[in-house]
Amino acid sequence: MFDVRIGDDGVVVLSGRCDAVQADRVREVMDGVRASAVVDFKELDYISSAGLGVLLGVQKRLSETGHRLTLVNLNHHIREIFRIAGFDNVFEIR
Amino acid sequence: MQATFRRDLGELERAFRLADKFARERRLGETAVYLLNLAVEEIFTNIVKHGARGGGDIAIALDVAGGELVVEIVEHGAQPFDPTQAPEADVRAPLDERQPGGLGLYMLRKLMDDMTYEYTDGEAHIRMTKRLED
Repeated sequence: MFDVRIGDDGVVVLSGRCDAVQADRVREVMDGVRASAVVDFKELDYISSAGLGVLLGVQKRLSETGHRLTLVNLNHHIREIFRIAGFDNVFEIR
Repeated sequence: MQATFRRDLGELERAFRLADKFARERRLGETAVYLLNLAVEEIFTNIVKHGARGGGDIAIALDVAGGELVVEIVEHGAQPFDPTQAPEADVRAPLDERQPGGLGLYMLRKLMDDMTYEYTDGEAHIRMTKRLED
């Protein structure tokens, strides 16, 4: 089960498993993000390169206007995936 | 444990169910489960998105042998494409030069202990192994 939503505080919350089938849902929701935002991974169990590609595209788009995503609460496995993908260089990860 | 899947992204969920069932039966740890799912998804989606048009089914076989997780994926009706020799994604490039393409195979090559590829008579065999922690 996967879900992506934007909370009242503007934080993007990902939960469940983000695979190649679900990545389009992330893209649709993130298309509405026009300024710097926090993405909370606390409830996310799994992400593959499809989800990473979407996040990379959003970060590139936001950077053109001086904005960026900040990623928080990554679990150990996802943090390792991000490190190997070199995403620790292109995202602020807390 | 093995199963055969149509060359369709809609089959990914069923491939995950095979992986989950295998992981439960073999009582794999969290790290192995993540890698198992990633190996299945990245190769499966790569075949569906970039494999031969009109190609055949995709067979996935999972095993634990000699203390290693073994993931074997066979693409029937394949065109030759060796994922072990694909150009590596440049993960150190600055943001404006980063490209998402190639990231899945790159991660598998870094995370798995071994990945081999054989192509014979229209069948592509990809075999990945990862030593399991005690």
